[in-house]
Amino acid sequence: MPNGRDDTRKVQTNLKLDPSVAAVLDVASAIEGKEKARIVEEALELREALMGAEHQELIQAALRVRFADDPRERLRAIEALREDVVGATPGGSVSVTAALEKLRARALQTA
Amino acid sequence: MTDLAITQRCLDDDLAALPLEVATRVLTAFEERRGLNPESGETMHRVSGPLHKIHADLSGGRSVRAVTWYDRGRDVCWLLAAGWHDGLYEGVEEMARLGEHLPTPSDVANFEADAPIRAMERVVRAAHGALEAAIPSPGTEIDLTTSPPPEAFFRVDGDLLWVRVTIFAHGRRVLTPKQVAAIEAAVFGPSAAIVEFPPESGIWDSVLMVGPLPSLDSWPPGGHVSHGGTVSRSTST
Repeated sequence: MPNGRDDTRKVQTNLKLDPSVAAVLDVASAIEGKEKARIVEEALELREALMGAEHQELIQAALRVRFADDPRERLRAIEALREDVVGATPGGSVSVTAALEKLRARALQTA
Repeated sequence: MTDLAITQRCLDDDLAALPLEVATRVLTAFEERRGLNPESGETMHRVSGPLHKIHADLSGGRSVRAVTWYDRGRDVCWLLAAGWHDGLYEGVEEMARLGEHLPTPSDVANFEADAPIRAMERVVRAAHGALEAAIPSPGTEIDLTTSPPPEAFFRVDGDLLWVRVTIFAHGRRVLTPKQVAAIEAAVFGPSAAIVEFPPESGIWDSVLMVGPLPSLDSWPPGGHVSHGGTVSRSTST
């Protein structure tokens, strides 16, 4: 967001891109018929949008862990929130939260 | 605040074999007692660890027992075994003879993958007490959870609750986007919160969240899930 301080701040405008990135940018500029700067701006906007959507998805998953009624839905949400770790198994959460939901889900299945 | 975890074997073989009410009682006792002191409880003899006993008896003379082990290196207390009193300790001794009583490498990897869920559990366990301390001391940071990382703090400012979560600890990044989401949902529930990186506040190593101050009477905040599975969030702060 522009403001007095930002307007006067010096920014680097002659970014030195890696040759491979510069080549891709050249191609994209030619195909799209746009200035390279505009393409970079669009890429940054896209990244921001993707980050926002991803964060919202994570928030939704975290809220389902806390508030969903169905234990199976809570377990799916727990899975979505887990980090990628070598050796970890799908559905293998060892948390108390997951244990409770697994037991509830099994009880529902056998009911 | 010590983390808590349950071995896959204990869940599949022990807890799943108990009625849901009994298994839930074991987990509740595990949370209440080991969450406060991971090395509390009577020590088991004849097995290495040390392993500690939990008595989780139910009405009607139903004797329920569990066995835990505190992994100091990871600061996590593991629930290793649970069941009816008769034969439980003997079963644990037999597993110990075979070297099968402690968490497996797969359990440990799954524990590491659970970091966001554990952050959420720690915050839920600590938040009410921290909020109680923060409300009469507006403007002052109150510890929410400080160990293991990430550290999180409450600060009350009028009708707003600020949560500061550290990004770096011990020279490395300790906060992931999933942990931010887990902590935000744990504190604010479906109420909207704003997450920001404060570039000019001087708090360069933290992420800040701000949202409505929850009521002590109704914390954790309520919420609902629609049939489509999407949780509604208010848009005001």
